[in-house]
Amino acid sequence: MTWPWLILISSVLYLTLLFGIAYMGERQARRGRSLVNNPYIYSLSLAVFCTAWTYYGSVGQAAQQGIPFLTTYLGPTLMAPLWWIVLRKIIRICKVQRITTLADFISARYGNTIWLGVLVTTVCVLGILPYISIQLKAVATSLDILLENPAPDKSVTGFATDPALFITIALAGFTILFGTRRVDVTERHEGMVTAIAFESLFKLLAFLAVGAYITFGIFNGFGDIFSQASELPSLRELFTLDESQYADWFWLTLVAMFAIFLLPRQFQVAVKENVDENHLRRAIWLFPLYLILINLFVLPIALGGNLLFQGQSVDADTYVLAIPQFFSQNGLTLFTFLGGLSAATSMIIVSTIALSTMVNNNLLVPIWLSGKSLQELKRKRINRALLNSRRLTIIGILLFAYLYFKLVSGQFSLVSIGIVSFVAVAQLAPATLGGLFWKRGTHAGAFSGLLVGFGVWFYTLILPTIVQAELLPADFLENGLFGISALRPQSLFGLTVFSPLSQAIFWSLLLNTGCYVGVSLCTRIGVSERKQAELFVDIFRYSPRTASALEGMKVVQAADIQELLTKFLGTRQTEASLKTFYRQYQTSYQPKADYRLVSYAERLLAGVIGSASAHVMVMSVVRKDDLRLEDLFQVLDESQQLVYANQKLKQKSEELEQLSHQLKRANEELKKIDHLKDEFISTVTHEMRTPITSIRAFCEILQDSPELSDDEQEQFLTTIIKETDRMERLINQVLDLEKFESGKQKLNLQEVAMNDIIQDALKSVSQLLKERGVTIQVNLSANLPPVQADPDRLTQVILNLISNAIKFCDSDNGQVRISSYLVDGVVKVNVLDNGKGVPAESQEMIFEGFFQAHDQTTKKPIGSGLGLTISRKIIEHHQGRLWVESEPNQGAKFSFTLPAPRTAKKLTY
Amino acid sequence: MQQPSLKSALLILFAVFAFLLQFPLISIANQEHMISNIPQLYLYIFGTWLLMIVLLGILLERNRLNP
Repeated sequence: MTWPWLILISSVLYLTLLFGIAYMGERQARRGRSLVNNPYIYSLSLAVFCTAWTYYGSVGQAAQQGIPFLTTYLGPTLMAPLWWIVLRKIIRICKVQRITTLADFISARYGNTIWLGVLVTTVCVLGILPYISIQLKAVATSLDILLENPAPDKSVTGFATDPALFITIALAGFTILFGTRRVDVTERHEGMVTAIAFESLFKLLAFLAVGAYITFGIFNGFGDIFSQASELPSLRELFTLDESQYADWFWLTLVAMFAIFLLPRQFQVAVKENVDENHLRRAIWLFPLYLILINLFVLPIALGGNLLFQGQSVDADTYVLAIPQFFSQNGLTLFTFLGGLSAATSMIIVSTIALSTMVNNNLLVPIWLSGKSLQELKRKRINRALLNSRRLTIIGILLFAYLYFKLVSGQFSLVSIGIVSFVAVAQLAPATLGGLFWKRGTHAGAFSGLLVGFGVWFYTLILPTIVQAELLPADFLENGLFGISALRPQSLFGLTVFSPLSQAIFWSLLLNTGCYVGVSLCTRIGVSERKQAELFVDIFRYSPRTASALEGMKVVQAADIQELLTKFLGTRQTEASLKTFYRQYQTSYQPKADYRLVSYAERLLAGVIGSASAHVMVMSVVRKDDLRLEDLFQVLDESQQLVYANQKLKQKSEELEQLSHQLKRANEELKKIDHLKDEFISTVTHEMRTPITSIRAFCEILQDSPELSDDEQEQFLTTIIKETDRMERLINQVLDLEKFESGKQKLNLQEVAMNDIIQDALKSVSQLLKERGVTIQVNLSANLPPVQADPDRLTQVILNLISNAIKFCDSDNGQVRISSYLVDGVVKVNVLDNGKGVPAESQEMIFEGFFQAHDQTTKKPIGSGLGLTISRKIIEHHQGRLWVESEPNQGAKFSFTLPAPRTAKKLTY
Repeated sequence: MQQPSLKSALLILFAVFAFLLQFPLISIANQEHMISNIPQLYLYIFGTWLLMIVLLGILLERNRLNP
């Protein structure tokens, strides 16, 4: 394979690889696995700063002047720590306001006016076009070098005659493919960034490889090159800075400091393609590290080339390539060439995307939209038209760059044109930095400063090159405009202590800043400008929400907004965006769009056509007549919402108060219960003391009086036994009660016949009845269904009720009646007596423990005082009810019910 | 001693190195003298540059958690 074919094929392969990487980046992004969301990729993408100028031009400059080439890289390094203050702020603002280019940024800051955007765009395009063209020149020159040697070969004629054209076409294809995917330019170009990061790595490795080869392969290390060079006076001069170079050193560093964040391509990768502003943290030290690495071998290569090619006419800009070729290192030469290609292509791609967005949004769209009503626009498919116009702009920019290369830039070195571009974008610094930190800066100030700075730049740096190209008479340089010597472009106003370049930088920046500050102070700030100034300077104080609220208060029909958006974004994206909006703000479709929808739409449009045009478009659907009133309503609405929120808060605190009230009540209840418990315990112990006292008394009598008769002794012993029984019963009942209260009591449930239980109970009290002379009347229903009950417990209840009835019935003519029957699905048992009855106020209290004890009229308690309490507990545990009905002196009727099970009822039929 | 915020630390770093790399301080190193066969000015500039990167790295990686 011949050498030219090898070059051609490897170039094509390299570009194919680039397409592949970009495609992969896009695909990963679509799958949600973003490669770009990574501080290393971010730092590498920033290295798009290093172009063919760095790759070839630095060596050329170093070979002629020595160390001043480093200013281009020391400036950005010095700027790096300030990124945290400046660049982070710019990134935040652009994210909130959906700003995508520097022209947008500046025009948005000074009230979204179109003319400022146009001016910034013009500065950028005129400044950057030559810069792109020198990249093409670098590629073309490097190819020339490769093809000249070993022998001219005409077999690949087409490519060899104009390789720059092929590269231009390929890059146009790449840029269109990966740079104009979607209408919304705020979408990140993940594929493009991935490819750029790869190119940065590639060019660094290639340059380090060729540098290491020259330093350690051809020479014997750094020391060897420098000591050889020190023997030649012409080279020894390059070791130091000349006194006169200090000024250049300063001004070039300053310009490079500005360039690192103002160059359109840097703005593109550093701000627009930024995923996370925290990536800056690592980029701040990684990027300078990249710069120092790529500059490490520049001086050795430059001095080595000077030593090797003494007396030969080899362009120092080509040393990087010429040295390995001179030593017939074909592989390394090819690698070096591809490294240069990567440096040039990355710059061309990113610059073209950035410039095309700028030209479209700030130049073409405003012109195209001006004078057109919404009705006219309805008939056009704007989103498609926008994409196409962006594609055409890309082709146009590359075409102009190519033509410029063919016609003009062939005559200048890489560095000289690059520096001129740097100075052009540095003119944006006062308006940008002022806009970030100085609220008083006005639109008029920014516009005039930029215009003057740009004018001085053109007069002092561009006119001389036109003279040099022999398009203007040479005497213009020597004698100044109209023969006024103060107007000589290369020593303006007679300033001769600086070099032509330094005085151009000095005058342009001085007059620019002076006009910006001076005119700003003499003009008033417009309303929308003041709002933007506030938002820009205090961006970190506002959350995105507040920012959009401050965005502006306008009233529009929501339908108009939707229609407008559809024109630019297409139906599907508009609907999706609006859905996002309603979800985000938790509102639903309202016929009158509120200011949030308006500002949201404006920001969406800003992503497509730039902020200035978006503002104009949205204003075009605003109904001006009812603006004021509606504004007022919105303010009212805001405060209404505040009032509403306040009310909610109040409600909440009331609820809280109620809750604490309830808690307090519960606490009191608990205290009462606690008190009751204390009382219960004291009652119980009191009740126990009574029998114990009597037992003790009788025991003492028995002990002390042996003379007592047997009868008396037996009587005493019987009493003791009775009292002991009473105490045992009391203790048992207390224990029972405790079991029921604590829920530990288990019932032995089984089917029992109520009547049998009553009969059993009657049998056991028959003796007592006879003793008391009480007559009993029993009336039991024959067809009672069996009930689910614990027979022992049920017996306990019935016994308790009967014995109570016997106790409390009329002492002379005692009568007790017991009846049982089925009523309403429950088995009911009544026990009646003919005693004094229970007073109405006591009817509930008798079920509480020791009621008798509190009844002062009853001197001696009969029974323990817990019988009814336990009975009620037992019945309640059977899902039944126990209560008393009574009229004074009419006796008392105690009744209880137990549920009759349905199944059991059925069984009886 | 109170630790300066990241912002002011970065500003100080910028100011110090801006002075170190500009006239008049740079003129001190600006001599034809060679140190182990490397021109003194080259050594000074690259050394200062590297020192700045190291300091930036330490500062930012250390402050990673508190902005």
